Amino acid sequence: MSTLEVKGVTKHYKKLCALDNVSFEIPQGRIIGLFGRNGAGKSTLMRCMLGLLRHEGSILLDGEEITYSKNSIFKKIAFIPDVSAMDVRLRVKDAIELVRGINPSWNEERFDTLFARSNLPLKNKVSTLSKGMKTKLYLLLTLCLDVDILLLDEPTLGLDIQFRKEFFNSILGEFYDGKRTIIISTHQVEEVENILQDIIFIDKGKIILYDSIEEINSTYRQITVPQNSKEAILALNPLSVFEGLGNITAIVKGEIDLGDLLYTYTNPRIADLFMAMVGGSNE
Amino acid sequence: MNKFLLFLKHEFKVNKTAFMIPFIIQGINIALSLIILLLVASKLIPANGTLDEGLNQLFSEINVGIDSELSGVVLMIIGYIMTSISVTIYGVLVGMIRAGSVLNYEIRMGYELFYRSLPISIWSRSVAKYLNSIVGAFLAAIGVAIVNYIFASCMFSTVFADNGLVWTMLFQGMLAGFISTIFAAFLFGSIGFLLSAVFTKMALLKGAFILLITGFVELLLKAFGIKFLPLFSYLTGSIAKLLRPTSMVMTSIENTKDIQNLTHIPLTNFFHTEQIWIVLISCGLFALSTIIYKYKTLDA
Repeated sequence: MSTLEVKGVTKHYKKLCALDNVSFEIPQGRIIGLFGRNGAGKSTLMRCMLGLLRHEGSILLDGEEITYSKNSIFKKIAFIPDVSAMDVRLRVKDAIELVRGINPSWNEERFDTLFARSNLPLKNKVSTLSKGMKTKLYLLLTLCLDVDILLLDEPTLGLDIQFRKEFFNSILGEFYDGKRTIIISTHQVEEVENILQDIIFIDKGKIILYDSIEEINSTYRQITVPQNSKEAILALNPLSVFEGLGNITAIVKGEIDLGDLLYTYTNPRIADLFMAMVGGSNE
Repeated sequence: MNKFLLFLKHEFKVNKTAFMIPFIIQGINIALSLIILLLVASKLIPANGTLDEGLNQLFSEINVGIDSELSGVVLMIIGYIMTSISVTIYGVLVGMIRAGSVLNYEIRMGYELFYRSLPISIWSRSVAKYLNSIVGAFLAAIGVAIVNYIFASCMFSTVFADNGLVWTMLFQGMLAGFISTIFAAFLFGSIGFLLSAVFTKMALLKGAFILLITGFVELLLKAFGIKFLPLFSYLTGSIAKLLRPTSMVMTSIENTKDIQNLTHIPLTNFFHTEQIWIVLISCGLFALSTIIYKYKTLDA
């Protein structure tokens, strides 16, 4: 199984800096959520990790550099892009035949299981499929590969809520065996947060957070106090403050010491923590 | 199946409609020719006569002996045009039009990420695309040529007394057409291939525009006595050179007193040294196209 190392990766689109000296290491067997606003650099980072974009810095897969257009890495990594990239000129069976024939890591048994659940019409042209069915086909083709790392960039875009739930809670489980690594980028944070082990936040091309869920839960707190205790909350240097109906909710880092003040606290939701870290406070 | 062969098959599958177009056009051509022939014949039907008699009347009006000087030669040239020049035009046009969109189509349509995420090298994909667009177009032209050859031979056999001679001579015309097509399709297809790598949209149109500008600049430089990279002159010169096998056969028809000699034109007459250069230049253009295609950015 493989590990991925990203070292000082910088990517410019003309004058725009899409990735700014990004560095991190992904050990094997983790399910990682990559979150950021539109244009934060998520897709660029994923494409750099796949050798689909030229960049500064280096990306290593098991110690071996992933250079630009090094297609052999796709024996170990599979990718689902955020755009509908399926060639509509193909029939469903042609697309399956192509990926099956070209990819040595094709798993026929998994294909049979997933295909039976997909309701995909084999003889139809991809152009006749709905957007959701096209996405299903792409997911099917990718999840049938016995690769070490799976990169999913908005994998459930265009799918109905029922299939999205099924995908994250059940279908993805067909692929994940505890040794494989899955990196998911999505805006539907609440749908994936239960399956994630690590979180990466990216903003303006920089990694602003990379931690495990356990570490995040032990570091960050979401506390709620009565509205008249605002000053005590502000004294804690909160990441965000939200004034609700008679209460103030804040996300703070580190230990909480509010003296005798009555308060409740929980682990912050990923979406709330993200908003807090990229400047989502209403203060 | 080998990855490359699988991809070659895939390329054929997704482009098979393009290969059918020459056959459809040629089918329409032949159908129209037959309709015109029958319409003319129907006008010539004697009173209370049959269509067969009308056809006989038509053929007797244009019937010429094989030794007849001008009309026989003119008809034979028409036969050659049908079997050779039309093939070359098909080969070049289909090859160039297909090649002109072969490397940019998937990028334009947003499918490129799917293909680049497969464990097959860009060079393998590029070779498969090149073979499909250029050799594929050439094969389609051969198909058209064979259809043309059979149609033209059947038609001219009814005009000329010596059927065997007609079939042999038109076969030579078809062969000349094949050879012209191979090299023409290579050169112009490779230019189209390069344009498809450089431009994502309207590659051929942009290429034609650049060629016109180049021709204009060349003319200007020539007027000032400067000779610098005469690309336009080379390309226009190449067209004449590429069509040489066909033009040679046609010159032979015009010059020969004994039309029977035409069945003995040596095959070596169809080849010349420029064809080697054309193959080398085409290979260079292919390599350059693939490098440009490889480094074409797929922005996120």
